[in-house]
Amino acid sequence: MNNGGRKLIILGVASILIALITSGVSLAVYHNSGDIYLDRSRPGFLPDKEEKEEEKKEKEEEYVFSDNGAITPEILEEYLKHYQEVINYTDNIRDPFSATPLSDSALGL
Amino acid sequence: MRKIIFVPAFVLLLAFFSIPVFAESSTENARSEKISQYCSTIRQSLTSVQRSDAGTRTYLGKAYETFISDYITPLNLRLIKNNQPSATLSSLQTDFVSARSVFNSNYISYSKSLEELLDIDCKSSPDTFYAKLVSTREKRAEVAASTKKLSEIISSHRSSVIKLKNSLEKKDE
Repeated sequence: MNNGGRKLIILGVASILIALITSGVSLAVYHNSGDIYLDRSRPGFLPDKEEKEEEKKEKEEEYVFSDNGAITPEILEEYLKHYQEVINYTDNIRDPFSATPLSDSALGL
Repeated sequence: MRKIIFVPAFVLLLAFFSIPVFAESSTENARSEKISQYCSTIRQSLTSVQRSDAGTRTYLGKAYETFISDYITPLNLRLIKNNQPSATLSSLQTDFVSARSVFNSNYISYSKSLEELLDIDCKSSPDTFYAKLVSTREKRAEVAASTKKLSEIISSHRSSVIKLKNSLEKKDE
């Protein structure tokens, strides 16, 4: 085997070793940090079938107003209908960041 | 004669104005005692508020992102592409972006203040704790004001789109 061939083998072996070391370190960090327990892509931790279907349904039903296309009263009517839905969503939080929770009476002072 | 009337009158006036000062200081003392006594309960309440606020902020943040990305901006772009730009709607878009930025910075400032408040030992430093609580309340009020501002802009945008729709309907007639 000539010198160039030997160097190529050394390069190959070194690359494999580096890959193994970095993979090992990554897995160790992944395990020790606790992320492994939060990762829902692991077998046994995947979202429930119902949950997946609900997420998929939400995505499919999501209204998208494109920035391309005509502007007609009908299109704006549809826009307003969905816009109102988002307003209703924010209205679920009544009086956000009101003074009450930090008041003297709320804290028992 | 004047002195006989003036001096007692002056003393009475002093007595009258000194009573409220005395009452205020006793209220403060009572409050400080309460803070020291119920420190752990107060801290628990504040921690609960902190958690609840984080949820509210995430909830509203998601909605605000939806408004600007999925509604306000694409509509303005579409209007421009149709050679129907609306100065009102463009202005509202700018206002919304600015107001949202103010909301974010107000929330960060309030959140930081609440964390600092929780770091104060209310048992040993009730007065410092209360002073920080007052300051945190002010910051919370600023966050509340910025959500109201955003709500107004969202409402104004809706009204402007309705006007636009009505004007297009009139053109079609």
